[in-house]
Amino acid sequence: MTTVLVVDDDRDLCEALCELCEDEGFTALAAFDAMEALAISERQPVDVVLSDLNMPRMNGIELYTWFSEQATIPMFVLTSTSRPQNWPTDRLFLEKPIDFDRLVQLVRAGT
Amino acid sequence: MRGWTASGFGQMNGVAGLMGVNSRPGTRILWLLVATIVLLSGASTLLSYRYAEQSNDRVTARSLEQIETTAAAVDAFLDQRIGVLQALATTPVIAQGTPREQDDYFARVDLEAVGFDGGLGLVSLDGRMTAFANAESPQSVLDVSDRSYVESVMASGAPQVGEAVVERPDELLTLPIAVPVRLVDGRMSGVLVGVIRLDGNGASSLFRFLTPDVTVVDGAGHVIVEDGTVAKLRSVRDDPTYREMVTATTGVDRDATDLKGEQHMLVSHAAVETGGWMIVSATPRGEAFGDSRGQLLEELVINGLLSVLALGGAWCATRRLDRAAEAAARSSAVSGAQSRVLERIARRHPLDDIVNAVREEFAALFPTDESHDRLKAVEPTDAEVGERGGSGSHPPAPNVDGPEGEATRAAAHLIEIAVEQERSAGEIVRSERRYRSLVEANSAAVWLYDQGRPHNETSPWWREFTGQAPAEVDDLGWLDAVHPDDRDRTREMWKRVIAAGAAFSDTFRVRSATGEYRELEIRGVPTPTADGRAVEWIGTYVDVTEERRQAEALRISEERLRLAMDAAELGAWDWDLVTGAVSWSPVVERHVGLAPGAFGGTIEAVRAFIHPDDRPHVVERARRALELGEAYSAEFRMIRPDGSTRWTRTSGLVIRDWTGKPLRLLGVDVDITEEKERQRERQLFLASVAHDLKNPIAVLKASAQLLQRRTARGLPLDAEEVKARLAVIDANASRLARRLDDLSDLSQLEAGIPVDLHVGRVDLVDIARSCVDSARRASVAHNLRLETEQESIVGEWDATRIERVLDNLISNAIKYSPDGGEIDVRLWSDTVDAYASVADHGIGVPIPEQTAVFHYQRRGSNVGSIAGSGVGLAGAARLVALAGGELSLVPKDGPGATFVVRLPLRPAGEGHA
Repeated sequence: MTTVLVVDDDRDLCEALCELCEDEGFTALAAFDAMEALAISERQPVDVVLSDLNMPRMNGIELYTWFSEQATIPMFVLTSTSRPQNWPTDRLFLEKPIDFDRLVQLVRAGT
Repeated sequence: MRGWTASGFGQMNGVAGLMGVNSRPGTRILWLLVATIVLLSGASTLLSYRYAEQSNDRVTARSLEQIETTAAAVDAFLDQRIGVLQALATTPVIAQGTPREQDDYFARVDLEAVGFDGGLGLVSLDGRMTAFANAESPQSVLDVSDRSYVESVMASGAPQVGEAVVERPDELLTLPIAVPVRLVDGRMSGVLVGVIRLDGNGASSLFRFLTPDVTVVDGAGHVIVEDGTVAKLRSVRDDPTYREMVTATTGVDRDATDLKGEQHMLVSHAAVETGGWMIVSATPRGEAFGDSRGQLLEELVINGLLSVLALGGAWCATRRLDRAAEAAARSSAVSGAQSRVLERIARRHPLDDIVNAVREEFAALFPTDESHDRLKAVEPTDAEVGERGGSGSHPPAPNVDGPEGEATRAAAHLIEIAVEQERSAGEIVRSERRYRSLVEANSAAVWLYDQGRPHNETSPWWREFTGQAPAEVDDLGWLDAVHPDDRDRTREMWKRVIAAGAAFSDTFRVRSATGEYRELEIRGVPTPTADGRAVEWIGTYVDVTEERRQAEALRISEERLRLAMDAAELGAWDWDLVTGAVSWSPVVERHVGLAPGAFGGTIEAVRAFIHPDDRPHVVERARRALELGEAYSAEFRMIRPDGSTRWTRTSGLVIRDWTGKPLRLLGVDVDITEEKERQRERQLFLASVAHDLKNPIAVLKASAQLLQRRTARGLPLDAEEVKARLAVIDANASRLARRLDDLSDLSQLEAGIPVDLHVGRVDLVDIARSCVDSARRASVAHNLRLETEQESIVGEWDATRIERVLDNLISNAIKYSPDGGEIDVRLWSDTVDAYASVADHGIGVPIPEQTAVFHYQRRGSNVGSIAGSGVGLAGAARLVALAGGELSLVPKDGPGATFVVRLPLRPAGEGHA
């Protein structure tokens, strides 16, 4: 079973995304900031990360570097702007509000 | 006899009357001869082409000599040239280039500068007229030359001289001339139409081209050489001798430049003696002659002018010859008449016979009614005849051996002298007039001051200009027309000049006939007499009013521009591409943090100030402006000596010479650092607003998708679950609405539009409790505590907005204490105000920024990537201020921040309850 780690400091959004993932048959884990996400990923295996970009303490880009390059876990970034500052042009991001059908496709393809 | 003589002539002639006191026959004959002399000298006066209007006897010997030499030279040359001129006149102009190019060229050439007076225009084959010459409108050139006349030239292809229109006898006549203009292949491309006005100016124009031994330098720096070929030109533009000559004769440095760095149009002229007459006019506009196309077209212009002028010259010379022949015939008729009359006197013909002879000769010379009337005056009346003693015989013949013979010889001598005097007077005055024409052609007006003559006679222009009556001008009366403020100074100047016999120049204001004061520049040189004393000055007046006004207007406009630029903080810069020098105004120096005058003045010094990353961009923009003619503008960073960076926006334009070669790049700079900063902040602000708004929308959409997908899959919907989901939707919809309200209030407040407040009695404790409760639901990581010693704190406020203030402060506290921890909300009040404080243990606000956090775009420099628009605190502060209260941050360094809201219990203006 695919485990999806959802990271967003907006609790409502984070929880709604978790529920959506679970309805798709994924195991969903919620983290309200990047530090919490790192802690969870150390405790248990994670297959895909969905993360907000602007968060306190550690931002999505740092988290992205950690998951994609260090831990080699695919990560999809969710943003509220059409193009996040400093975002590498060849990397994918999803703009809020999120089209969940597309998100599911990506998660399945990513795993 | 006695009565006959005395009363007869006494009645008819004042001169005779005076002499009639003596009735001796010899005397009678004497005054009869005098009467004859009067008549004959009158004839010769009339025959001298009215040149003898003015007495010349005060012209100094030296002037006479000069004038006569010149006049003789002009005459001789004119006669000698007629053949050349006629040949030239019949040569059609051969031009190269397309008609379009010719038009372009003509449009650029200032023919006035080439020395052409009158009108000149080019009529193209389609009848379009382009006029080039001075003062004449295209229409007036055509009016004189007549379209049908131009058309006949077009049809025949042969040059033609039209009918001269005499505007004032012997003074001004207008002569239309048309010359076909052909391309090299022989096709006619148009008709050059010239109108020569043969007044002083027109005549002098001819002299410029036609006078022998004369170097004529035109505005283009060309000279007509003195080898007899009118068309042969030699460029003297770069000839140092020519430059010196121009400078020496015009008193203006040919290379003088004005404030804008442009060469002056040197309109000064001077006539100096260099063997013959040299007329110099200089204008840098002539510099337009230069490239190969210009050279070809230049020939067209010069040849065209020469053809027109030559035709005019030929006509003029022919006319002059005709006149000379006529004059000679007249003159010989007069001398014939004189000798015939004298012969009769010498042969002691009867008086009646002599009188009849005089009458016949006079009638032959002046076959008009008027002359008959005059002639009748010398005929004795019947009464007079009757007084001759009824003898009916002729009066006794004069006795040549006696006193009467002496008188006859004296009379003959008198006639000779009179005739000679009149003849030379005519010549001299004619020469003088030519001289005058030359000078007048080259200045606004000429004056002559002769200590022996009334001023009003010698300077008619002054009277015409000032409207002073002749008597008002003399004996320094002319000073009355000088502006009162300039009068004493001018009088003193004049006295000094007269005393010293020196050349001078001065400028003063003179009241014109219309009552307006005009500024005149006066120049004069003394003409020394044989004994070296200066008794006569000759000089020019030039009306420099417009010139001065323009200079003043330019100065004012430049001053205004400077003030405006200073006020707008616009810096000016100027890069001279020829010398490489760069100048900066003090404003530019200030922009880059330099003291005034500290800038190095080179392009390398400019480059050093430009941020290395921006240099290629700036260099490229300048290159494109200079090479491709694009507008020059760029935004770049300048590095100040202290290392700080300023943004600059610059725009400029390229000044080119007429060939398109860039001479200068100049423009203005404006410091846009603040603007750039605002731009950046605005971008950040909009990004964070988008973030703040998109999150609740994302939640709404996710919730909707969740319910949709479950429904679609037929999954059971648990009532509690649906209720919880709907609560989330509701909360986020409210959140979204609140954010929008915040933004709306803020934008309204920023724009100075009042916000409608719904004030009512509200309990601050209730509001705070509800805010804390909802915040608790949102964050599990934070421990929110509400502390108050009061059951309720009731005041008159807008409940919704107070709630928003507290919401903002609490969510801010949560956001900026990411590690969780305590958030304390405290409430208290005194008799006047209610207070609420929100304290967290988060990242805090650095002290230098503590006052700035309430600015709507400012957020602490240490917030990193923490989401938030910064609208919250600014909006909260505004709302609190609106309620008459105050939002402040308790000063404190390090972690943790405490915000305090003070709210008056009652709106301002109301007393205590």
